[in-house]
Amino acid sequence: MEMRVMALIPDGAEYAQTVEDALCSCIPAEHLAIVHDAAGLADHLGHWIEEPPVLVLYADSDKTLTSLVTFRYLFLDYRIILVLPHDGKNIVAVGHMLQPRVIVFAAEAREQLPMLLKRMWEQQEARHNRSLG
Amino acid sequence: MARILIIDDETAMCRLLSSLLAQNGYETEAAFSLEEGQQLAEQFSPDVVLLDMILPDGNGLDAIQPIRSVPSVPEVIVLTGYADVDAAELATRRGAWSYIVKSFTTESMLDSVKSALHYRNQKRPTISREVLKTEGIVGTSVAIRKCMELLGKASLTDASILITGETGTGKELFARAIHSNSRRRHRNFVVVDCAALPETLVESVLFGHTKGAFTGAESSRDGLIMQADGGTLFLDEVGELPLTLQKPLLRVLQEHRFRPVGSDKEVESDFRLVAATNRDLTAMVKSGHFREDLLYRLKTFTLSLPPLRSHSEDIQELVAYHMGRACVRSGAPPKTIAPEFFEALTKYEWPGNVRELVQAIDRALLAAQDSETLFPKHLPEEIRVHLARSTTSERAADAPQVSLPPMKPMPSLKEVRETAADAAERRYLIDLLALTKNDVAEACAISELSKSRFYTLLRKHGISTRE
Repeated sequence: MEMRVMALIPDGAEYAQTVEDALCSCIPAEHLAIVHDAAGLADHLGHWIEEPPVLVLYADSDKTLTSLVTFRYLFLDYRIILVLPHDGKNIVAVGHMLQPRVIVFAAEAREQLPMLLKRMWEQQEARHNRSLG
Repeated sequence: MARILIIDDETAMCRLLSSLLAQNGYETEAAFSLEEGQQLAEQFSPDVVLLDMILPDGNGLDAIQPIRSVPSVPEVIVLTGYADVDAAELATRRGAWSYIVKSFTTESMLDSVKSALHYRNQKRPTISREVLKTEGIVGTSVAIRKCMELLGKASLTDASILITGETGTGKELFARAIHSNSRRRHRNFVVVDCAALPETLVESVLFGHTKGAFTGAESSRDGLIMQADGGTLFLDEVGELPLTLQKPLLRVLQEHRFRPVGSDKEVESDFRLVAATNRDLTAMVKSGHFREDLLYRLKTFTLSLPPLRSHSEDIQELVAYHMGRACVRSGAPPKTIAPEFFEALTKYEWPGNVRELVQAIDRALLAAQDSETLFPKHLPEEIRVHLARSTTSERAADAPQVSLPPMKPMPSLKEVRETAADAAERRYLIDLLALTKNDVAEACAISELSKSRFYTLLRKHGISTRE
């Protein structure tokens, strides 16, 4: 029983280290893959098909977010936690186009990402146990 | 043939109206109370409802809106024994088509029914499948067509919708389609994943907060309800919503006003609500885990999605659609499909529904690698094993009955007892973990087991948990 997490964390982005630290603090290394651009993400997704992983997408700018929206057909089967740099109305509206399960803001990622991922893990285990029953 | 539902506690009046309407080519049904009428309105899908004002279990005027909220959205003609101007005004305000005093003539009654039907035919309260945006919803079976019809109707109203169905049936796809076809499509579709949000976060995530409202709230922030202003708020897995939050949420759904955490001012958000669940919310109401008033608020309009096993005729189309998507995604050329592959898919029960089918297709494509054709051997092992077992047992059942000595002697009572106790123990542990949300300390307290004994039992039954 395992939950895998794939994360897109753009190189050099403000809060990139915060987001990475938050993920590393709660997901064992063997269950976590971090990529640094949309192309890397597309490459990796093809190899992770048995149980769709949770995707943590950090769109550090409007540009990154727009490129993710362009590729959104790649992510339709995945549960997405979207990390945005701020809560401006426009960026949040575009963010919802990616169909995320949850939106987190970068400054709060350190506290909120572990809580969300822990909860998702628990839910997955509960589902697994229910299916055993 | 147009359908007319008569709700009147006077048997003679029901009989008279039924006969009159049947003679004029209408199909009728009669109910003698509001409760029965509401149920029939859901099942019979009437075009017009003739509703008596005074009924044994309530005032007909109060039932106009609930009746008009059923999927067929019927026109309501209110019947009354006495002319009452105020009641007539109230009936009109609540959406009744007309108000008729029971001393009506045959012609006036028929005229009223005909004009309601004429209006109804002109407004056509649905979006046809051809123009409906249904990205990702695949199938032409009767079950899916019925869902599409309801989707078209639901998209034209602003009523709250509860989508029910087993896991993997596509509840979120339908929720998005309702949004995409509604007048709110140019605004946000905001997902609230009630299962994923930890209790400590859910209030501020939903309602937003002011700067300094709690430790770490460094700036004010809109919550999801405000982000859905003008658009659609989708409460996914609504059965997982903590009881403590159900009351404040009910208020938001009723008034569309709420107070962000730490704020003394109320704010407004104009959203349309769509909720989804795979849980039996009525049973949860009975067990005290879900508020009854919230359930009624959510299910003004209900859309029940069928499990894949009940519309297996759609499997071929689903496979073609999802294989196409997978090939586009991976850049691989499309493969041909052996008839046995489809046959195998049709025999399987798909407990995980369309989601499981999609994953099976992905895995089959990966297993097929350079092969140009998909065969059953490319399916995931657990599906092949299941199919092999069921085929073998079918063959065994079809085989001529030969009297053979039992393979195994009758077990002893002790063995039977132990097997049953083992199964009960396992069931208990699974339920206990679900109840305590994997809190081992709480589980030990309830079960009166020591931690080490508890873990031993979990290991014995292959149940996993995390503290």
